[in-house]
Parts: sequence; structure tokens; C-alpha cells
Amino acid sequence: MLRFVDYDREVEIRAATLEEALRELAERHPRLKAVLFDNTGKVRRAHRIRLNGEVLTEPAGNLPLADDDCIGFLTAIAGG
Amino acid sequence: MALNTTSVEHVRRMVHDRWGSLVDEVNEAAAERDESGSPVPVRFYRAAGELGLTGYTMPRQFGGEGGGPFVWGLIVEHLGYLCEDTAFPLVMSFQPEIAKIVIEYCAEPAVERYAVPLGRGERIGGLAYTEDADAFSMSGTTIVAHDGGLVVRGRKSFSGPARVSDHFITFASDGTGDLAGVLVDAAAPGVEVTPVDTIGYRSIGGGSVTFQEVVVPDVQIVSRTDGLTPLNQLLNAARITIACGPLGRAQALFEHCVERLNQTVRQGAPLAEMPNVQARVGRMYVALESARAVLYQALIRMDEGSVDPVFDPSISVAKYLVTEKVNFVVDCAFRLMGGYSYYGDRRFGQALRDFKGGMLAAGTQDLLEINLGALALAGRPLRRKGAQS
Repeated sequence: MLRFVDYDREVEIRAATLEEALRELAERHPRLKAVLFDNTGKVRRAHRIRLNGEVLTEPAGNLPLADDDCIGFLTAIAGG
Repeated sequence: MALNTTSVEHVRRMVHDRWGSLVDEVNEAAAERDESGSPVPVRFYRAAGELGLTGYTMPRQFGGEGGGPFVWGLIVEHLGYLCEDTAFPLVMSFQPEIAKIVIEYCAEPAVERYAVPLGRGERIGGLAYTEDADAFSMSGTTIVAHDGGLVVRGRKSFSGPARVSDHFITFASDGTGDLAGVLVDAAAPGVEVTPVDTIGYRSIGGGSVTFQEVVVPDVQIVSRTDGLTPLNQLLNAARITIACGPLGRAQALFEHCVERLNQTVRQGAPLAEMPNVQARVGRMYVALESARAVLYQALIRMDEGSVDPVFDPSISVAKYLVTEKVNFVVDCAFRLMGGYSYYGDRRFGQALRDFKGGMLAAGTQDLLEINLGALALAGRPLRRKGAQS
């Protein structure tokens, strides 16, 4: 995913919820939008979202975020 | 089913009793097909369906026997043990996985036409996904809107059973950066399959698939958006089928190797009595047993429903480890048996080529290392605050 954010490994965002943070991230990096979300606006299930190093098995958009929370992504993609 | 010696032996006996005769028929011309690259005859896949093999793990409401992943894995492993045509168990065991994706994502008419017949052996399905690109850079094939439905354009460089497939499940760019997924009949206007020669699994019927303005009605849409998810579900399932058959085949070759070593005398002594030979055979044994333990662990987790359907670490570890170990075992056999394996028994050479296929199928070994490493570094999946129950 890094190439879709110009290899910017860390992005600082002010957001109250997970959904807000992801939308803001996609706004800043428009090329990421189609990779992160499907055409209905849902986060693709192929991406694992981490909060402070722990994988969220079922991330809820309204998950509240605190100052200094760190969101990360893991994407397991393989060939056929 | 709990894992114990009785259950494993029970399944092996069932495979022998129910499908042993079919495997004997498949074996008759296995060597010729490996040499010529001609596909496994479709009639064998049809027979597998009629005899309840392909449908064993299909849900009962869709005509199957509802067998769980653990027993199914044991079945495919023992088919690999018995079957000298490695492509047959591989292609056959992938059919229910395609069917399950169709059942989960498609409307009823598509399920009736494209899923149920796979379990019955009445149709053969192939995955047409591979392009010379990563999932986010695919441009060689597109699936775009057309007159209320979709149209597929472009070329997929390789599909395993392309030459024997009745339909394909294909995933391609929708032109906006997303992946869409559709079912395409092999006989549909504009679909062309071109044979592709491979070094291993030569009887799989491999080919490239070209789509020239192929119109797909709504009913054949698997996913208009986020095709990446069903695709990865399919690849996740494929990793298990890629592991089971080759492990059984490697076990059979190990036993052939041991038998040969027991019959061979060098420097006035049986090879089997030489400590260096014993040590290498020991390493082969450890490789097979450890691979089997990890594979069975993944199958048990599948039985328990505790695997991630999109990318499961235990399934990927099983595919990774089995692939490494079966390649190790056949390499060891060459070292132990010398010329006999090179020109005396063609099955070892075939396995040498076939097992390389596991190195790249459903994700290269290196790519799996990256994915597994990243997951391991991220810690085990845990529920967090705000997670939906």
C-alpha cells in the first residue's frame, strides 16, 4: 500500500473515530482510496487494520480514537 | 472428526474402497500424459463426480455429502498417495472450492448452473486470474459495464485446467482501480484458450485465456466490487488443496525409495545399512511427519471454523511447509538413489518437476514469507475495544 501514499510511512491525522481517520487518509492520498475501499465505500476485507499494533478482527467505523493512537495496515495479497 | 490413527486409516480405506478403481484407471496412462502434456481426460473428472468424490465436501443442500475439511484433506492426501497423475487430485479437489465461492457470492440461477454441477463432475471450473502484474496493477484484463451487464476484455496468462474447463471464475480490473469478478463460459463467444506448456503438472491442461468482448449477464457476476476478497478466499482454500495431494505423493515416493534402498547393494553392503543413508532417510521421514503434523493442524482448525477465510496463517504455513518438505524429500531421493531416480523410475523426475509448482501456486513461497512475517510482527489477531461482537 505504501506506493499509493508515495511511500510516506507515517501520516498524522486528527480524527475522533476510525472511519474519520480512514476517510481523511484517503482524502490526502486519493490514489489510496480505490485500494483501501471498494466501490461501495467499505474497507476491503483483504486489508487487516491494526490499532496500536493489534489486529482488529472486525473493525468498527465508530471505534473511538484517542490521542497518539496508531493505525496500521496489513495486506496479504498473493498470486493465482 | 478427532484426529487419531483409526480415523486416518478409516479415511484411507474409504478412498481405496470408493475411488480406488477410478484412480487405477487414471494411473494407466499417467506416464504418457506427463510426457506428452495432454490433459487428464474429462471422463475421469466426470466419473469422480458420479462416484461422489468431487462432491464429498460440498454442502448437502447443493448435492454434496457435507464432509468436513479435515476428512476432505485426508481424502485428497491419500488420492495423492495413490494417484500417479498429480494433476487429477489437484484439479478435482479445487472444484468444490470454486463452487463454494459461487454459492457464497452468486444468485441462485448461477449456483444451479455453475456450482452444483462442479460437485457432480458435470462441469469443470478453472480460476483465470494470473497476469504478469500484481493485484493492484492489473491492466491486461478488464471487466467493465456494458449494456446492463459487464464485458470482459483481455488475456489471462495462465489458468491451471484451462483446456478442460467448462467455465472460468475470473477477476480483473474494473477500470477504476477495483477488481471485479465474473463467471465466464469457456464456450462463450470471444473466449479462446491457448495451450501453455509447463515443466510440471503437465497433464493439468494449462493454458492462457483470451477474452474478446465477452459479454457477461448479471447472473454471472461474482462481485462487482472488491473482487479481491472472494479471490483471496479462493486462494486461501487453494493452498490447502495444493498441500494435501503432493504430501501424499511424496509419502508414496519415500516408500518407493526405501524399498529400492533395501534392494540395492553397493561396496558389498546393502545401501540401507549405511549410516549416511540411514541418516538421510531419517531426515526425509522427519520432513514428511512434520509437514503432515502442520497440515493436519490447519485442517483441524478449518474443521473447527477457526480459520480466517481471506488469509489464514495456519493454512499458509501448511502450504509453505509441505511445499518445502516435499521438494526436500524428492531431492533426497535423487541423492540416495543416483541414476535410478534419474533414468530408472520416471515418477521421481515427474515429482521433481511437479513439486516445483507448489513454490509459486496461490502465492510464491517468498510472498507467503512476507505475509506471514508481517502478521507475526503485528501480533496475534485480538479483539479490541469497539470491535463488533
